[in-house]
Amino acid sequence: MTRVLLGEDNPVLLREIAHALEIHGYEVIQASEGQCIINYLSESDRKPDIIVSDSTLKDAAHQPISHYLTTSEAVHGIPTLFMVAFNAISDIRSMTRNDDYIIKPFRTDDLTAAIENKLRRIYRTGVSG
Amino acid sequence: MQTETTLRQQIAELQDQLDSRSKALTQAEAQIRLLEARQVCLRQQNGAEKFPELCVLSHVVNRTPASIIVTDAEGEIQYVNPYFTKLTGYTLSESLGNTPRMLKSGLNPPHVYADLWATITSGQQWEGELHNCKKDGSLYWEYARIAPVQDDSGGNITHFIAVKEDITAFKQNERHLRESEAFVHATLNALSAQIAILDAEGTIIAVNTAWHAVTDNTQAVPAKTDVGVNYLDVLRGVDPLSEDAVTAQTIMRGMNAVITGERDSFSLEYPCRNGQETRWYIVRVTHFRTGEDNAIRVVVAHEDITERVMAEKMLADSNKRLEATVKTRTKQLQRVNRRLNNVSTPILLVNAEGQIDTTNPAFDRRMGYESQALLGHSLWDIFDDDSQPALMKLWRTVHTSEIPRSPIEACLTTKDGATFEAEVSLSLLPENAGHVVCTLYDISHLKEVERLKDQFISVASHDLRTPVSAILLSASTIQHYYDRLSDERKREKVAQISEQAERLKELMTAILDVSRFDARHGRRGDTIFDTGQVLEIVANELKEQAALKGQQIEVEINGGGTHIIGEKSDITRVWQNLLSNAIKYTGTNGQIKVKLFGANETANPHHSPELGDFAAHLPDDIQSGQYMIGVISDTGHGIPEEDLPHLFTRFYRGWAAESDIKGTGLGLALTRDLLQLYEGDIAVSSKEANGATFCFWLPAHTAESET
Repeated sequence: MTRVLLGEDNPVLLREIAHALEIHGYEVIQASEGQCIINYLSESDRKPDIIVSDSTLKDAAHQPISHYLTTSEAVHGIPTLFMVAFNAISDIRSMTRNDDYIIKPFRTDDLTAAIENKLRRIYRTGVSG
Repeated sequence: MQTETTLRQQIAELQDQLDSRSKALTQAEAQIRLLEARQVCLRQQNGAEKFPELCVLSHVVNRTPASIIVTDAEGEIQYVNPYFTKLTGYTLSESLGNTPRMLKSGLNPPHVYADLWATITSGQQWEGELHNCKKDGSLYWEYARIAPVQDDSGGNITHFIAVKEDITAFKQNERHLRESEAFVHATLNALSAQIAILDAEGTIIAVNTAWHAVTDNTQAVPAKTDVGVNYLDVLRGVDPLSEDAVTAQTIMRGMNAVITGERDSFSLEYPCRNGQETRWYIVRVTHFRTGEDNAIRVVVAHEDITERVMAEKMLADSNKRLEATVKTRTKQLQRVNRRLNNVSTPILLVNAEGQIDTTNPAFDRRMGYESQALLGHSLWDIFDDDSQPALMKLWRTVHTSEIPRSPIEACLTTKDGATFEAEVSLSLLPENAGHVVCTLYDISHLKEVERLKDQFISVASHDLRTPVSAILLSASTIQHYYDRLSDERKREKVAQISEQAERLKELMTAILDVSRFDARHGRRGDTIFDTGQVLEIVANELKEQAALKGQQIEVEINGGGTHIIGEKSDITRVWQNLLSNAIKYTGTNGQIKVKLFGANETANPHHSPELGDFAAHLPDDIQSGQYMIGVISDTGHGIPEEDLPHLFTRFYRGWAAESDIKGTGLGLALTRDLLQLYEGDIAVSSKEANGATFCFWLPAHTAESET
């Protein structure tokens, strides 16, 4: 079962996305703040297969989580997919590849397709639930 | 004139001398004849000592200051006296046996000698001027009288006696005199001034050529005034009614004063009208005295000075014009300066080197400097580094092209280090040696609006996107996994969709409210309604919402005068915004107080103590009984001080933008816009973490205000 670390600060969206992914057979770890992602990655032994996070999340020091996710050793090897609001695209484009983000709003199947795409590219094998 | 007189005088003197010498010569001749007679007797009687008078005569001849030459009938010199030797250099012994031809210079015309010989050989006496040569070769003039001496028989000429006067000096003087006279005449005639010389009675005794040439031109020198006419009489005769009468009188009095010696000289500038033309003259009257009888002579000179006067007039006119121009320019400059000082746009004047020459007060204020403190600084100094390339480019084009360049946006740093953005225009002052006017339009506020708009779009798109995302997700989940979802899950998803759609509607409403308000263009409604009643309805609606957070809303309406004429929904929106804000920004169990003071109530000074904070904001005539006042206070977060000035700015959310509290940044802006539409306004007072108080006032509709 593919394990997804999901970061989203809007509780409604967090719940909805998590639910949609679970229906698709993903195991979802919910993080409502940027710092939760950092804490989980550094403390938990159960590394996620992929991180799906809103691009505007901030860490405790108010730094964009995207910076941490693209540079930190703890994240090394874990693929990351950003959920990006349209007005923040230019920020995220400057630091990630084209297939590294999905523009909000999206439908559930758009998200699952993007996740599968990313995983296929990274692990060269389809990992599906 | 002086020289001429002196020379005339000298000529007269010399003439006198000549006459007296001639007399002396005639006497000497007579004596010589007597002497000769004696000598003849002597020769006959052989005893000179017997004639003592001969000795006297000889003495006279020897001493006389004239050359005496005695020749025989053939012209051979028999005797010369010592004066001859002294004059010519020839001694008696050198002369004896010679003829007077030894004195010939070759300068006397031949007919002179012919005439001389013809005269004396015929027994007549000849006299005339001879230009002769001395022994040393130098020339001299002499006046000679030559007479034949005849024997007693009377027929035969035995001797010739020449008595000669040295007149070299006289001849020289005469020549000088002639030269001087010629010089004086030529000079006088060459002068364009009209000159006349009068005697002591005022009679004209001489005039120059110009006098005749232009006498017609001036009334002061009438045409018939000529030598022999009395000038004073002419002037006296000028028609006292003519316009030249005063001039004539003045000149006459001036002349009289010079003649009587009352004054040395006199001069007068006078105009002379001749038809349309007016010419100007100056008359100068001077005097001199003659040598002979010390008689006074008056010189009157009229000179045409029209051109000089015209030139002076033109000079004076152009001076006047110049002064007027300077005055006008000064005024313009002062006007420009005043305008420069009064405009609110910061303006600098920069010289061709880019140094600041002048700054206006608006500039000094904006930059925070003392008046003119930046004088002499480089224009570049006041701009930030990032602005330099664009500014340099603009500066160059302004100097090389006449086409006005579009302004650039640049960043400036004020004295206290703050920066502001300005639209910079440069324009060359064409008459001012490369000076450039630099105008700064402060566009900070525009930039701020732009920034707020960007922020709004960002916030709105985020806020709009979130519910849309939620709706999309829920809907697609239901769509794709309808069978897998339990009924409860399905209901939950639908509720989610409905809730998010509600949220979207709320946002759309806020945005539409604002744009609708703008589209109203200041139109109010025409319904009379009670704002107090509206308050009660709104408070009732929101009570439930407040109760959810454990909050209480306390409403208090004091006094009458709470009606206005307008659109009821406007005031509903005011109360809704203010009350829902209070609920939103106040934590659980907070307290919200709403007080409305009717216009009757605000007329008396015992207002609610909350109003104390707003004394500075309330209108001056707040106690006139025209205004109702609403006060809404909460016990919530309060508002940070830095947010207070911008609170009513559209899209501004301040600290709330970073918080979980949803909003559009449009509610308070719309509230103020609505209140201002009804000629009211709103103010806020808050201490952070100590709640906020909003106070608005509105002119109430009263029976009086209706009439």
